[in-house]
Amino acid sequence: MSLKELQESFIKAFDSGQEKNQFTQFVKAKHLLSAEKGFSIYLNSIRGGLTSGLSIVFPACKNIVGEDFFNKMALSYIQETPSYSPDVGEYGKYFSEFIKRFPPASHLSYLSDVAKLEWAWHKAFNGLDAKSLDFAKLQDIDVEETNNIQFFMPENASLIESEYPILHIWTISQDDYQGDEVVHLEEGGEYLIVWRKGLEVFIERLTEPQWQLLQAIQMGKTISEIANEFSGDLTQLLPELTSCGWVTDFEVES
Amino acid sequence: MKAEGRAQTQQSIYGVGVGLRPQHFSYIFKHRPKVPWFEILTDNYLVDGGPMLSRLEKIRADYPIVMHGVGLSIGSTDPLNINYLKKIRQLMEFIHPTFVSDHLCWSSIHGRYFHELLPLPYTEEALNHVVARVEQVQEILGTQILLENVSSYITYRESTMTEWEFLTEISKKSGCLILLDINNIYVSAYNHHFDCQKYLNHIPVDRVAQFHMAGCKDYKNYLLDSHGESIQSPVLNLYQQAIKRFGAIPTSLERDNNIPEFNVLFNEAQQLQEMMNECIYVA
Repeated sequence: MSLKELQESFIKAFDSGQEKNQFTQFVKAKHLLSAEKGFSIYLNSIRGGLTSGLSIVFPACKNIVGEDFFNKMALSYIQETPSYSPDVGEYGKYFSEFIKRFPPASHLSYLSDVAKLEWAWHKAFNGLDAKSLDFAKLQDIDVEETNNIQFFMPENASLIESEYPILHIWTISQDDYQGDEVVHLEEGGEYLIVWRKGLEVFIERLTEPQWQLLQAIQMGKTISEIANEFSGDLTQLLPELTSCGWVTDFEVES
Repeated sequence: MKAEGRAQTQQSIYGVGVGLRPQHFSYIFKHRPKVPWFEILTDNYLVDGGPMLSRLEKIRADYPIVMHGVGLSIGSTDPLNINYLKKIRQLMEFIHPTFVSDHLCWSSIHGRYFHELLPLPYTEEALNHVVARVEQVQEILGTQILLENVSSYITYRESTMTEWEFLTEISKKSGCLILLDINNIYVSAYNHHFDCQKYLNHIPVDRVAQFHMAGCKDYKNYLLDSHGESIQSPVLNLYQQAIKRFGAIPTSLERDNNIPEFNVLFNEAQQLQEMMNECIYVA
């Protein structure tokens, strides 16, 4: 058995979830600790560690469904989603998409969007610090190049669109929330931006025109492309987004 | 990079430090506890920006820091994750740690990470493989690293040497230093029926740069390296033996689960400090 063969056999053993497997053939049995028991300690530790990692990133989802349901959902996610990063903080990247396809959560139609919001919060928390727009730099742009200006949102920002009042749901699902815990789904959907300024993460509601403009910016459209497609008042809206800190940089697309 | 003896440190550390956990940031900022140094979980700070880095920078202004990682996967047969090492190097440039350590284990294969410290078979093949990778890591990071003995629940049929022989050879051949986890020795000795004292006696005194102390949990058939409770008294006894053999090696107290108020950990660290002082006094 080579080292590589041993390590490859662990993948198969982990995916099978069976205590008796090809990997345990390489393990020396002990009086009190059989090869199968030894393997199962690792299996449970890996599953437990990843579940705990997910519950740290998605605390509102956990509060909504309760610990048992959350752990079962996490276990299903773990069984179908390998981790391809040494950073366990990256592991929840596909959790929101998974929840959408997780049959036992089908009656909680908003849950996937709440997970999306929590993931955006997590990314904002650990993302690059937001800059302030350098207005002086705008003066250096030649007049004929102004149509090719491309604006940027803070790199730590995410835009979320939901059919449900997820900010309200998220708010009442916080550990320290005190107050009315009733949310009516008929409150309707919302457009949100999640971003961090300084050390604080903000979740803010956007108007539809703000949302449309930020989405166009996020897609990398130039100012002339936006002007052609956008029906709102750019001269009012762009300074508004800038003063909110949601537009923080620009460059001239060559 | 092949270095000999003790590491050339950024800032020397002495005594018993404490594992830095985000739950304790506010307390530390407010009370500035008399802890000689902190150990960070490297992987928690490999982020692009934000509060974690900002708080770390604030703590670094007042305390020496050592970096302790879990994602290196030094024993994996995959190529080294250069992107991960670059991030470690960036963090090193940011906080100038006294030591940079990880575990003598593997945790990934075919790019897939298990986020677990899986033991290696103690074979010539694994030895040569790890030695070559440690040399590469030290070259990339520009520093001598420390490798920690892990607690384990399995051993392999193919192993041809003991854990202490394997660890010693890795250190001697690659030039890395040893982070000796006293609790891990105790846990593995219980699980695999070997003699802790024999383990300690075999490790060369000049290769050990740091100790770890933590709590474990008794499941009757085996011990689990849980990091969720106070240190067991047999582990304290073993620590005493370790200080007698290796001297007043900088020691960090780890706690990752059931994290109590900072004062509880501080008092436990003080207990270790007193043991260390007593051994020095007797010596």
